[in-house]
Amino acid sequence: MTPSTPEEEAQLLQQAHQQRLELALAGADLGMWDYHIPTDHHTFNERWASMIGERLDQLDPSVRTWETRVHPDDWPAANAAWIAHANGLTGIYEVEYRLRHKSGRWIWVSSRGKVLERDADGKAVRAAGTHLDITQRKAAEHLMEQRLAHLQSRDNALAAISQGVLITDAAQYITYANKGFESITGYPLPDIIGRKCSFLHGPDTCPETTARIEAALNNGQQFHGEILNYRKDGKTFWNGLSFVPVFADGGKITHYVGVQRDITAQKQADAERAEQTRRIEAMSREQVAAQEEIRRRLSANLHDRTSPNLAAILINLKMLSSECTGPQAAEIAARLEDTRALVEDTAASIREISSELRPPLLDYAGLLPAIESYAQNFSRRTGIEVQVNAIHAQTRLPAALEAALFRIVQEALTNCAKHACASAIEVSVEVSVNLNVELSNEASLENTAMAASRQRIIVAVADNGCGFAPGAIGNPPFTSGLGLINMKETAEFAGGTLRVDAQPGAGTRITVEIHLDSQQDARKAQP
Amino acid sequence: MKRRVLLVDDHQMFREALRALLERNPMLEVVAETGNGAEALQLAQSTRPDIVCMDIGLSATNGASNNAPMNGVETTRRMIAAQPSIKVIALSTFTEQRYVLDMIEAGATAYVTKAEASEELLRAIDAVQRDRSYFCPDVATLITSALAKPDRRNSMPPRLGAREQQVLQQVAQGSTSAQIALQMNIAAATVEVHRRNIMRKLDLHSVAELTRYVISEGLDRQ
Repeated sequence: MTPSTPEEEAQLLQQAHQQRLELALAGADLGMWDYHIPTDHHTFNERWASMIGERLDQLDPSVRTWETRVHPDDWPAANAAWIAHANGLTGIYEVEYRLRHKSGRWIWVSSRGKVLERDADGKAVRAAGTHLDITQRKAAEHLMEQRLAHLQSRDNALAAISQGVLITDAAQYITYANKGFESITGYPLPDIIGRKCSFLHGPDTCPETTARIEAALNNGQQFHGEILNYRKDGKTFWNGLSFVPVFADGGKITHYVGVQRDITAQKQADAERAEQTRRIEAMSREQVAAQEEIRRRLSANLHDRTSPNLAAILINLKMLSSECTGPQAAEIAARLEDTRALVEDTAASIREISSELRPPLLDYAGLLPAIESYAQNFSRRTGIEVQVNAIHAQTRLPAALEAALFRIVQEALTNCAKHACASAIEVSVEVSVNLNVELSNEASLENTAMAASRQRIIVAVADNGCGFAPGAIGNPPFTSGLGLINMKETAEFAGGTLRVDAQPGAGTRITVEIHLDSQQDARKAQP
Repeated sequence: MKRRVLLVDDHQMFREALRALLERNPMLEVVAETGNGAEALQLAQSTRPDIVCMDIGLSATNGASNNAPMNGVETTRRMIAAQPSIKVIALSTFTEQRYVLDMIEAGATAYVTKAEASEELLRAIDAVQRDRSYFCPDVATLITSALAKPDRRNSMPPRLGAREQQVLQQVAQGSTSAQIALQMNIAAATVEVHRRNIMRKLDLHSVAELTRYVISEGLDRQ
């Protein structure tokens, strides 16, 4: 078409402009609107309509087409933006709001426009602008906001907890630390970002632990442990440290997350408790030793002071009875024999009491002979056969230990006789010596033998009796399990452990195991 | 010729009783006595005894002397090493096997418990003079029971005193302690004492065992 008049030419130009504009708008995926205010004539282009799922020819060319589709929540802002721009308060009309799609869902649009024509009074006559569908962007933004809020709350949570939380990158450089970390270590965040955690180590930090941490990091493993760390002010604290590697989908480590707790006070309390326990145990041991010593002395005194006297009396009585003559002789001899019987019984009682207090044989010959002798008497008394097996048991042990082990065997045998309905008992005493000696250059062989040797002593009492169910101790009919508890305590006071293996019908086995580090107390068997 | 005897026991009362007992025998002469192991060795050298009555527990009341206390076992060992012809009779309150074996190993030829010292010691002296060893019944029972485990009872006839035999007889016939006491004109408690001694000597540990013994020995039918 060729323009014939300037009007026509202007119209053609206008059309060409319009077309170029449409192309540009289509390229930018923009909807277009054009609003003639005095006539309320509002036109849209095809894209504007399709954005809300409509066809252009079905849209009423009125501002109401727009107004009725704006989300009620967004309407005040959209309207206010328009009024402000129409009144010349803003240079451009620009607002985001939701429009109702034909399907009923909401789409987000970014609306931009400008008043193109005003009347003499400055009132807006015509305005035009564009719509851009920003639903996806909005959704992304929303997601981002949600994530941010989430992160923020997580951050707040991390900041709020008293434990120190650290995050490092895959190369173990710190990327994040919470407030707790600062309050524990004294290092503020800026001091530590980009550093490795090893700056917390110091001269007294256990190298073994740092090696374990290093190994865990190198192998992409978790770590849980305790390590002595240093604050910014140089003071030490015990760090209860855990860290885990964070893996990406491909299995590659992206981060490490560490949590640390100041467990100094707890460690101190633990140490104090341990010390207290140790002291109580030491006291108990001393008490047991003192008691044993009293028994030994009482036994020895009772025996040594009275027995020879009684023996002397017996000899005297014998001599007297053979010297009796005269009419009363028979009567006197009978009386003397009654007296002799009394003395004999007294001597036997003293021997028994003294042996019960502490068998003299224990001091004279050691654990094994004392056990053998006791077992023999026990057998005779109860009719239960007792076999005593010994492996290297001739070695003399510290007196207190010999006494403790003897008491345990004594108690175990008594228990067998009382409860086990056993017909045979096996007692075994095993002493094994492990020489793990570090030879110094000038150490002679004798010194070596004196040096660090470690003895393991195992004493076991096993019967073929009725046994009992685990846990039955303390319950009827095993209320006299006090014996067992006593044995256990005795074993523990002696620095060992006591184990009871029992099954109903399968007998009972009591095993005491003691490790003796220093051999200084051990005496050689007396010749 | 009189046999020369050395007494080694750290208990003086007992030594005196022993001396009185032995000196009633015209064939014995107590040449010296001591309570100390080292002194005993010197006396053995100077008095040349034939027989030594040796206590095992010498060191016990010697107490914490600065010198290592020498017990009867060690004293015997040294004495025999110096004078092998000496016969050592161990005298002890202990009856445990270990003491007996230690003394025998050290060179003693007889072992007598102090409770049985009066008659048993004289028997032991008699035996060692004839170059034989001797163990009093308590100890003999112990040794034989260690050698032959099962059914070792009655391997050595127990020696019961006259009163003890009397009481056992009555027990076998079913008398109660009260009845026996009345019959023997002694306290019931004394009868109990006799019963305890009988059971100990016979190595019996319950009334049931005592009854069994009485029946097996036919004592109830006498």
